[in-house]
Amino acid sequence: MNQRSDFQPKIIAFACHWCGIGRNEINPVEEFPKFKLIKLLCTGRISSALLLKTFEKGADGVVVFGCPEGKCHYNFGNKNAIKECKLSQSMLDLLGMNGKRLRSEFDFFDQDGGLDEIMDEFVQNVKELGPNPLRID
Amino acid sequence: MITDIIKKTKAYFCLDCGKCTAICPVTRYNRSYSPRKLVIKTVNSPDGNTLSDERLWNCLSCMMCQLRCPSGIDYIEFTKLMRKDARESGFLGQSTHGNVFESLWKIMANTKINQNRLNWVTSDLKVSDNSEYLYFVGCLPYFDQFFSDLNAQIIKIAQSTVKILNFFGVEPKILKDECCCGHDLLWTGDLDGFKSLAEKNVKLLKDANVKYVITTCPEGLVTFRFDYPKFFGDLGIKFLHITEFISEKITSERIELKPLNKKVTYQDPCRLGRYLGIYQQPREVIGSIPGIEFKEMERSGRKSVCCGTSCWTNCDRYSKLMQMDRLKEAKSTGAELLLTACPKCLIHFSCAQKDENYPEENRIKVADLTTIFCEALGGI
Repeated sequence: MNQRSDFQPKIIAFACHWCGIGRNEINPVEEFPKFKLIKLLCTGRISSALLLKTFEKGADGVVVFGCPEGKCHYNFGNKNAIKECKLSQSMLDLLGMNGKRLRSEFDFFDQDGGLDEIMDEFVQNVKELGPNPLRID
Repeated sequence: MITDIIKKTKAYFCLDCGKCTAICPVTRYNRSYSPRKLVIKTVNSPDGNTLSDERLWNCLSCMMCQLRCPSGIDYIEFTKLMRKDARESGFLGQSTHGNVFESLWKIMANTKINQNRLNWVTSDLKVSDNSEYLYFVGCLPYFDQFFSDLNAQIIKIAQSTVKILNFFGVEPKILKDECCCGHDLLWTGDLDGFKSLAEKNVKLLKDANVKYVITTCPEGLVTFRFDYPKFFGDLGIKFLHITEFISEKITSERIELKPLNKKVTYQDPCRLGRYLGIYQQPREVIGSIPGIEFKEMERSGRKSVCCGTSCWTNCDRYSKLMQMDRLKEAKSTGAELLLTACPKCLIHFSCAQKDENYPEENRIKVADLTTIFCEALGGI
């Protein structure tokens, strides 16, 4: 992949309303400057079609935030999201775009460092992978 | 322009006889769909009303109606062209799986993409870069991943094909960057999408410098034989379906096959049968395996019924009913295995049997012809 020093990855985040990030009170532009947030009522809405469409439209990285396993507000939404993320990663690998461009986080509040650390690491990973070949600037 | 479509497909010849509707497998279940009504409606008011008609997307393009039409109207071409105009006017069918395949094709069509699609080529499969045969795998690696929960082992089709080719002394060339042939985009009216995929493939095929291209997907074969020459001229390559290749080899060579004691039946894929006229070769391939008892379904050959959906569009309850009935018909022959020569038939019939309410007594195993023939050769 061609690497550019000034490369600023476009990151799209899908976040569940109940997991803390997609809450209504949060102003995503101020709170999360590192990614563009798309709020969902539940990560059960995630499908491989949605994830691949995001890459087709030029996103360099996609991250999915959802509730920890067993704590989904609707019981099974996050299970579906885990399955769809895995499927999309394998499709991205087949396409030669590297499945690491897609990350799913379902228990980020329990981790040391929390969200900031996860995002810093992810942005770094995407920078190493370089821009999405389909990216339109 | 719709008037051009009417002229080109000779839709103005319609006698309003209704033979198309009588034979249409969709109308049998979905009474609101009628090819006759669609043609008459378009001819009577060619101002674009039909474009917004969602029934335009119900056609399976199975060609059943076209073979019966006494006026020789090109109904499938009519559907194809009308869908193109409909898409341009902003009307679309209901895509299945959230339209994931369209995203896949659009990504694949990009020239900067370097696919990583050859993981299925195991060390026992012999492939060569200097061969006059090329095996065009198509979407199989993607289908295999996407439909992994169906347990249909779709990638086994590709592995079996290379094994079969190796058995007959052919080490095929395999392309790392080939993409979908564009069939589904063409038939859902996205001509630009089709061209971008096809251009990539045409360049790869020309650079490959081969004489023969073997496919296991009848849709790919139809697109290569009929649609690519329309846009890119003659490529100077002979496109063959794997059953054509095998049937030619088994008539000229004497081969030893392992007996398989199974009762089987065969589903003629629409593209392989009615489009390409390849009815005999798959039956010869099945018949060459000793021990196999071949049972023909009541509706077979030219009368064979489609597997229910096409182009990942409008898969609805009528499609499911169609699949249920077809599987019941297959089971009623007494067969324990339903063979087909199209990966999509395999996916659709496996998917229909995943339904919770699917009657147990109609359950039948579905497999691709190549995997069975490979098993008879000694197997994977």
